[in-house]
Amino acid sequence: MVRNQGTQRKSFTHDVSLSIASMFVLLLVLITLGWTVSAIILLQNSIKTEEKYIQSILKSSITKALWEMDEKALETVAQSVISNSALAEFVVQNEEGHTVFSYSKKVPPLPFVSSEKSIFKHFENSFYLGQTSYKIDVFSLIERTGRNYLIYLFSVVSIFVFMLISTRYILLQRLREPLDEIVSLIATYGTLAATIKDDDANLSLYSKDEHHGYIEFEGIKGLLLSLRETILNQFKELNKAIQDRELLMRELNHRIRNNLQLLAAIINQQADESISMEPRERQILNKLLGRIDTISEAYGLLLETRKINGIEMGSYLSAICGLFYQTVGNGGLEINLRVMSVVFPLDVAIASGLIVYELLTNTAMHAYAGRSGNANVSLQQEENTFVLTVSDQGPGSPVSLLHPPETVLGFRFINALAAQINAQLEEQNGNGYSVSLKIGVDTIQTAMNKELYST
Amino acid sequence: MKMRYLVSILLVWPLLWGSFITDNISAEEVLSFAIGEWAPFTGKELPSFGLISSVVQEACAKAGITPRFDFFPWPRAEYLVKTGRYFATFPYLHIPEREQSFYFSEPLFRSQLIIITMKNNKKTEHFEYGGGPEALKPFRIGTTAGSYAVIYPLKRAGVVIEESNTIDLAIQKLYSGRLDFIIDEYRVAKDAIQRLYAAKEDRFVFLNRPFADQLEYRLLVSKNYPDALEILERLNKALLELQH
Repeated sequence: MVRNQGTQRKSFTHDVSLSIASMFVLLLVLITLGWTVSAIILLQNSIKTEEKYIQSILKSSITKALWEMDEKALETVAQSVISNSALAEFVVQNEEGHTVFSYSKKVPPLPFVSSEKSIFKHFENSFYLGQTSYKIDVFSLIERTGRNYLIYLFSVVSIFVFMLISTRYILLQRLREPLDEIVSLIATYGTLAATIKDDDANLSLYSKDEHHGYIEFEGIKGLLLSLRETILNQFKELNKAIQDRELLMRELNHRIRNNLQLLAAIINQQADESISMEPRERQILNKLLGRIDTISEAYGLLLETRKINGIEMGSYLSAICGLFYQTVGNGGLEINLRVMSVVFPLDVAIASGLIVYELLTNTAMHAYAGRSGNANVSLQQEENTFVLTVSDQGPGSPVSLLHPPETVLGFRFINALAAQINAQLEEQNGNGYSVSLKIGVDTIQTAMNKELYST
Repeated sequence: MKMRYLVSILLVWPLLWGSFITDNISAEEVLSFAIGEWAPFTGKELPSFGLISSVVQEACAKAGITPRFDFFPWPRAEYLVKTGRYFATFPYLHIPEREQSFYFSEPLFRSQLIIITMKNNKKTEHFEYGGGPEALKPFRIGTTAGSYAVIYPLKRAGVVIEESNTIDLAIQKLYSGRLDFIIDEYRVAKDAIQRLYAAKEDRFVFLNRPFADQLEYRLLVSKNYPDALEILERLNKALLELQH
């Protein structure tokens, strides 16, 4: 019943085997390099060891045989030296200079290797017994060292191969544990079941319902790839939804602004058609138009900024001053604007803009009463607070902003707006008049991070 | 003045001459001998350096010579005598081949070479030695290296012989069954058996008929040693006196 998906299975085990094989090759290269160095050192040591061995035999056995003039013993010892060491030449002469033993063989010359003979003179009880001249066969030593080297290399490589095969086996065994968990998990689904093949770490998933045939998935890698693909697709869809939403938001802001401008135009046209309108009524109507324009300007700026819910306060307050001149007229009032560049959320910006507009209107109407004068608008940060201040050098206000009478609608309007955005109002009355709106930096940051138009 | 001078010379001269003669007579003449280990005849650890060393010492004493014995391996001792660095070595058999390089003294002693076997050796238990080296051909024969009185006749007869470096080794080979017979000097072999197998001496059988009898061992004197012949004559004289 299980359909064989050989390609997936092969790729999974192939990956594991490939990783292990790569590690093996790397280790092999490192071992080969290390042992090449050690082989050179080994050869040097072999030459020294050979020299020591020959010297010790010459000093003891050969000297003894010469002392006892035992030619048989000399022959035996010399033959033993030749068979147990790498010698190219070995000649023993007695005290009369006669050669009592001689051995030599042809060896190919080697570069950088000295081919000089060594001479050992034999003495016993102050008697000169003769001398032995010998030459070490470095070529044979290299051959012997190389043979040992290959044996060692073969041994270590065998051990590594064994270790790597064991590692592969352990790795695949450990993979079984999560696969078993997956099988248990899959078993909880109604028509699905899974099995793990003993000879591999592959998972076979199939339907228990035989009427619908079976669906088989093999290889946990394929499953994960599928999951990854699904997540990526969902992410793309989500991203597209966000972009669409932003577009909609911009469109919405644009329409609000247009509608506000339309509303202002309708009011303005109605005012122009009313011939019998009192100046006081006209003043109130202008104030209303200014407030609508202030809100409309905020939406206008919103369209220009990158963030859909933030307004750059420098530009916004500058625009409000422009609106003030358009609506109220100059009337001898000069506005000094000193504003830092900071982005406020839409609701805070609109409330702040309306407060500034209201205060400027009051300054124009009451502070200088037709005389020329200055009004200062500033926005700056003092530690953890943004401070928006509107001030003039007028005689001051007869009523307190913080505790306005019910008839002073403008001040009540300012208090209501400040409360709406969790800002504090401060008033300095006498020797000029100044109102400061204090907004916490954390309030701004929280509002900026808050999801706009949340459901 | 001249007369007084002449008288004084005549008086002093005999005194000077007399003292010179006295010194010459009393001066020790040391003679060096190079010898090896061959118990009980020679040996560094033996009393008076062995039986034959004591004979040589006596002969030297009679000849007015002080002997000095230095011990070497036998071939080395022979070589040192041959080159003239030592006066003589001993005891050696008179072999014609050696006459080219050495003089021989009067005999130091006479001895015989005997044939020894083991009681439990089935191969040799019914063997009767009737003389002649050929009779030994079927057997494994051993002796000490350098025993030319044994080696030469056996080799001439085509008998295979196994030489051992020491008599002790030859006796051990016989005891273990590696050899059927060993042939060596009687006292040397007897001494070795007593040292090595004191409690089992009765297991060794000495054949009645010796391999060689009345062998004369002598001093082997260097031809290259200064005044060798003159000294040898004095020693020979002393040896003959000792024999009488």
